[in-house]
Amino acid sequence: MSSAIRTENLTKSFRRVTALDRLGLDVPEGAIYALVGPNGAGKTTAIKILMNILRPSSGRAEVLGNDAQRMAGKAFTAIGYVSENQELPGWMRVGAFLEYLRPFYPAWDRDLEKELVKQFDLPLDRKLRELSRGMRMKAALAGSLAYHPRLIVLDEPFGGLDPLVRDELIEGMLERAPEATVFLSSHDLAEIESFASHVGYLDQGRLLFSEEMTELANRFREVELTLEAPATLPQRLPTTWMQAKASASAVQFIESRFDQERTGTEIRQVFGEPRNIAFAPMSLRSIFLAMARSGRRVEEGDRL
Amino acid sequence: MSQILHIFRKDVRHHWIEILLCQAALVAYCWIEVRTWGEPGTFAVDSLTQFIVVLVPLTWSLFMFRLVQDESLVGDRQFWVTRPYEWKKLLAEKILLVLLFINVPLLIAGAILLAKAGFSPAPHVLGLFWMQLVLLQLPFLPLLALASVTRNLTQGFLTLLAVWLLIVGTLVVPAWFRISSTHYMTLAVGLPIVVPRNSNDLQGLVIVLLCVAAVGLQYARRKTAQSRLLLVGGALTTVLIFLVSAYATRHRDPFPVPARPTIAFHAGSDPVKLSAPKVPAEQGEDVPIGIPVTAGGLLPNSLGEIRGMRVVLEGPGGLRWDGRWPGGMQLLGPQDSRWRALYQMDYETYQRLKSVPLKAYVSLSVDVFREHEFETISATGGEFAVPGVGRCRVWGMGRYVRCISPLVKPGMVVLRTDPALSTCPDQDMSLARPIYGLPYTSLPAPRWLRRRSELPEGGISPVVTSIFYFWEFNDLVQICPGTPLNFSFPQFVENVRSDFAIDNVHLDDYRLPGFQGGAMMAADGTRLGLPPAH
Repeated sequence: MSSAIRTENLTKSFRRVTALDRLGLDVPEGAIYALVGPNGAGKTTAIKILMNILRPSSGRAEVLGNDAQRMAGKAFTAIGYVSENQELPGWMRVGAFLEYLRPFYPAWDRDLEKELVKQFDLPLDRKLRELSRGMRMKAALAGSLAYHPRLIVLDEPFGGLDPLVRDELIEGMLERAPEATVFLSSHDLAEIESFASHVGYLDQGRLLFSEEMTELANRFREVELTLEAPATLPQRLPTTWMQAKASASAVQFIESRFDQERTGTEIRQVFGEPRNIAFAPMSLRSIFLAMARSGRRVEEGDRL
Repeated sequence: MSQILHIFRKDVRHHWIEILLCQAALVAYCWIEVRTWGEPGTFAVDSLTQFIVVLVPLTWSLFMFRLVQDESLVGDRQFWVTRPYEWKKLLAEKILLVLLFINVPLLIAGAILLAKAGFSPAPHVLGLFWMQLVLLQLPFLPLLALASVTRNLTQGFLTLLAVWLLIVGTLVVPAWFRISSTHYMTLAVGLPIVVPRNSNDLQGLVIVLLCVAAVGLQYARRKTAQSRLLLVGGALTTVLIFLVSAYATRHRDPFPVPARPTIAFHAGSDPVKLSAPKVPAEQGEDVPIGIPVTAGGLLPNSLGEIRGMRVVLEGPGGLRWDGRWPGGMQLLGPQDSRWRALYQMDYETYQRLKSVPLKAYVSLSVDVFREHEFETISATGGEFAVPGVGRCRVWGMGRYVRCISPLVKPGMVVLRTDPALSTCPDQDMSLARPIYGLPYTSLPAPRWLRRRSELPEGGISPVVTSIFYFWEFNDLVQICPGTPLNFSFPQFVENVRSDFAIDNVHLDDYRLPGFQGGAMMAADGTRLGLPPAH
């Protein structure tokens, strides 16, 4: 599968602060890729570089096969970009805004525009600056979906929105998803868990991991062992075990490369035959918290 | 093209108020301009004129800042940067708007003003276009550059203010060095509408190139920091060129010796008896110093316009003072002439030099003209046409003639009027107040003007005003309907220079009681006019 977005060693420094540190991303076409991480992790910087709003300090980025640094003009006819910080022409009415955007895009779909206006319940005669934040985001999204973009890039699209508006936006985006690649950033893990197909975790400018959601969910397990005797943790544990802790005869850890047979064998090698073994699937939030706490990074040959 | 027109429509819809403001200010300017031709301005009209003259460039600035910043090039949050805008088309659209809503109305206003002034616009179309080209260079290009590197209106106007202060500051510096900067003074009055006289020199080139580079860089790459650096660098380079050239020419001979003079022009110290004024020089005030000069040697039908006179005073112990007299209101005729060249000396220098014997080295530079074309026209109560000048009118209680011309001032023009032929009632020669006890006898009185450039200098109005003042003749010269006015159009022949020295100068003897210049006199001490026109 070809990539909609690919970056190699993408680095961005603002004076002495490194906002992005050798970012390597590969977003396959058709994916709904969520770039998550805490505030200040570098998500917006990464997106701005992809959109050629900022220039990288080093490394390269490709978006839909174009060098991101050369992206301009017609290249944006295939991209729909919406950001929570975007300054829209507040003096324009919603209807005029959509009307203004229309001629820029050869593939603009008037029917889809109408559909989006209806779906988002957009007030066409209201000025953009008079709209609430949520409505403004919906107007921006309508103006970014109506031309069937191949790539939809959303920077923190749901931040601070009430659940109803957020669901409307997600619904609107997902309806277009089959024909596009969606790349979005968020610091709220719960909101993307339900629809993202791929996820990348960025922390302090570094990508801790990037993979398919199902694969991620499958390989992470909370493991709880009940031993026959009070347990002590040996010095050396398998590298794929995270946050191991022992209390009385119980041992808990997070397995980041879960395979029932292999994990079971490793447990028996370390602790002998336990009285009970429980494997519990983890939420995305739990996985990220574990990742953040262990502060580990996915690198070649060191995949968790 | 369709993208240009599409953005154009949006901008017109969004900026119609600014567009209207520009047009309203221009209409107001034209209205006030036409009024100023017809009658002397009242205080209210003069104040309004000043206001409108400032208002017009302000409306241009407002329009251009708003227009460019609608698709702001500064920052990383603008929605349009991730839309399929093509930068060349966006820039072309902005330029198109400026051309259409500033330059075209100016062009039309220029044609209307010419027609209103009584000149057919058709022969001056190229000149009108040239004026627009000059305006594009300044102020529109720098304004476009400023708008493209500023985020909003406040930032734009503050930057404009900073630029204006920089220019004024630059003009003040040479004054500290006592370097003449009159050549550039027009810039300080109103940057947006006044074009520097040397607009095609190195400074102008630097401004244009760096503005073009900054605008190009901003639109093509949105490299704000680099663009700002270019503009700041350009501004500082321009200032540096100005200061360095002003400083470098500080000791240069302002009146180079002509290569092969053909006219036996000569000048020397006028051997009049000198004595110090009874009133002592005022402490802390500049002291007026008058050097009596006699000059002659011009051929019949010739005139000499004094370009300037330099006096270097040297005294014992390395004392030195260098003064220049710009010539001003003096015109030499073929007969021997005497006058006092007026200098301004600071009080401290005067105190240092006044008590020691000095030697004065004098250089006098004169442009010689030959007169062969004359036109006598009777003044009327209203406007009258003067071929080669334009349309003229007698103003200010008959003490000056105000003429308007299309696009550029006329070349060298001398206007003579003979008080003896005045048609004014109650012409009382006894009312004349002589200067320094010298009687006014030898007249007619001459006034003249000379243009600086063959090309229109930019600005809004293509109608140029020239004034022939006769005020300094007190009540002697008064022009009324029917008074014959003799215009001549002398042709430049060559520049001549005369150098002489004056020994044993006692400065206090040359001190004058006031800053009024010494009148041109004939050898017998009577005040001179020029010989009658042939």
